Amino acid sequence: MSFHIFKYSFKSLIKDKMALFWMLCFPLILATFFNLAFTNLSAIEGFEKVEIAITTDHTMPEGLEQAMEESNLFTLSHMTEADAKEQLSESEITGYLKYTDGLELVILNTGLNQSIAKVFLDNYVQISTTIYNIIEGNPQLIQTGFLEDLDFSQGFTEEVPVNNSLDMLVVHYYALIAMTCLFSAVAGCFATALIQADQTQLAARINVAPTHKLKAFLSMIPATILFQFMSTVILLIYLTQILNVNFGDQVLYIVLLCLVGCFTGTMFGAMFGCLTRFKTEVKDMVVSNIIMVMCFLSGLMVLQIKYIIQEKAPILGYINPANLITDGLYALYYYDTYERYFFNLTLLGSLGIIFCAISILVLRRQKYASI
Amino acid sequence: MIVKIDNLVKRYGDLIALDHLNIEIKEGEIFGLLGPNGSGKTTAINCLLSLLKFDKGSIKIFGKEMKPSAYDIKRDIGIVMQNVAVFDELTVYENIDYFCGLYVTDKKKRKELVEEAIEFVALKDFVKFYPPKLSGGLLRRLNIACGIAHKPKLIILDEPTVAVDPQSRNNILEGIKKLNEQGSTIIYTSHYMEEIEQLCSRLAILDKGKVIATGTKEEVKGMISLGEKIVVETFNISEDHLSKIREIPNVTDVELKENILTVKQKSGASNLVNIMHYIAENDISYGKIYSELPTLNDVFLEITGKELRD
Repeated sequence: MSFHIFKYSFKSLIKDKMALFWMLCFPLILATFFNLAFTNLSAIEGFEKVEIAITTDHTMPEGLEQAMEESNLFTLSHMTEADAKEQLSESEITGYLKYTDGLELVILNTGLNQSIAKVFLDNYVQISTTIYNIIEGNPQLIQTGFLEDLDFSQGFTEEVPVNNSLDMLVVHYYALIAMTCLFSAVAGCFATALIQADQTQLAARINVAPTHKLKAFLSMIPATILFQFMSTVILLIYLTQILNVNFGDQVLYIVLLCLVGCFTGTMFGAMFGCLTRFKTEVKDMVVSNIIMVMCFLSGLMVLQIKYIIQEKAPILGYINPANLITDGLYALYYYDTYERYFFNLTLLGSLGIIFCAISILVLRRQKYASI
Repeated sequence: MIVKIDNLVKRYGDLIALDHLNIEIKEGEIFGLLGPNGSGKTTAINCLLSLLKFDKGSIKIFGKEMKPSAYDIKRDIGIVMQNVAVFDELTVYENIDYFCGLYVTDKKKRKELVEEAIEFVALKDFVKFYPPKLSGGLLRRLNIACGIAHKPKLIILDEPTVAVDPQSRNNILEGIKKLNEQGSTIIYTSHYMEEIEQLCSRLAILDKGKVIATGTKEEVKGMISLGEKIVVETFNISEDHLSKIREIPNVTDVELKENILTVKQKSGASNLVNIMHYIAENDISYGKIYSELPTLNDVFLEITGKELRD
């Protein structure tokens, strides 16, 4: 490796306005837009407890208030029916409960909160009536611990150790990080255009010099990886420090995956650049489109695509670097163990090594019939 | 011999780009490769530099076989490409340093060489400029500096003055002469015969991948039958006069085009006095009269039947 070539390759990338925009500024802009959109989304989707008043004019069934509090669905207040009526008319509460001939929910309008309250109370009444009827017919059941064994809900899911400390919206930022890593493919592709004498005049000039083609290549590629990795790290810092996105305590694992992602992305671009014979501008355009298709198939735009690919064509998921990055990041989000994360990391790194080997083999054998 | 190209053949499918090309270049000379566009000059240079594989023949530089891995040979070659080949994102200084660094690893030595190159192409005031901010002439000078900064023994300049203003062209040609005086052997390709005539000690004229004439300027011009040309601006010359002029000894051709009479002579003959005498005797009114020696274009025209710029 030549430090001289590495230094100037890195310098020219830093000064390349197009590279700076697409590889650094564009992800930052997207992150900002994500942040704005998600903040509003959080505000819209944030669940506010239903305000319910319990009238003090009547005695409520035993256990009702406790059940309502434990459900975490309601904010309860106590007042007279007259006060409750007044507050309901002023829309300060969603409804109020009274008990005359039976449990009764009084509401003024229809809506989601009213439905939640109604469904909960219907359910409560149904369950309590059922229990009452059973015990009335068989009072000895109380002694046998019937009430303790009672379970009205049936679980159908297997419990897995999950990490609940992260926000669900973080997944979208993971997708953005993955896309940023793979943008390095464009720079990787351009690096090979500077090695192949039939691609650019610059490459012809470099080929004439007494510097081995592979030495030049292996000096330019680390510069590309470093530049893209720095862009990704800047994005991570921007996300965590400016936008206050909480990645939990997984940051080091994310950084490691990003580094390998940048390597594989760069090598994919380099391999594409070596194997195809289009003009440099066409290559850049095609490789960036391929990256976007990879990202699409990994669910960066529509999350369901990822699951469709996993179900219908899992092999596609294993050879798609974008999918491996997102899956690795999702694994960090979902699981407390790192088995799946390291599986993705290993596959991603292996793909990068394969791309690198193909690039070197092609470059070594390449002779030019025309320039 | 610094360069020996022997029987070189290069084909692009059915098209023969170089047809058994033979060229020898001696140490210390400025050798011109002259030919119209598409005659094979750049292909010959690309083969010489091992950028292109060829079908047949051999190329020796500094007495050794040239191949892509001949780094010891490449170290002493400098190339100035036809199109400007520099990094837009690096400054003038950084560009020269980058290309010089591909040849010279010693930092201190490289610094000296880069500064000398900047001085040589007179870009001292522009070292911090980026190429997109430079004019066409300055860009060409930067292109040259990148190719010669490492002080190569053999410098190849492939049409370095294309699309350059006259002042910059003169600067470039003067610079090339200076490089030659400093000891470098120069290969200069161009389709401008005036540049080759002005610059080169020996030359080869290429057409359809073949050398059609080679030698010193005088030797090449001596290969054709055409001698001097007498050009007269006339206003009332008749067909009868033209026939009479054709009968003057050693006149090979007479042509009248838009009041300009061109009388061509056999090689070695001079008829200026006779023509002037005939014009005066026959009361033919005239503007200016001058005689011209054959140009490389005349050589090309006589051998191939077409103009160099066709």
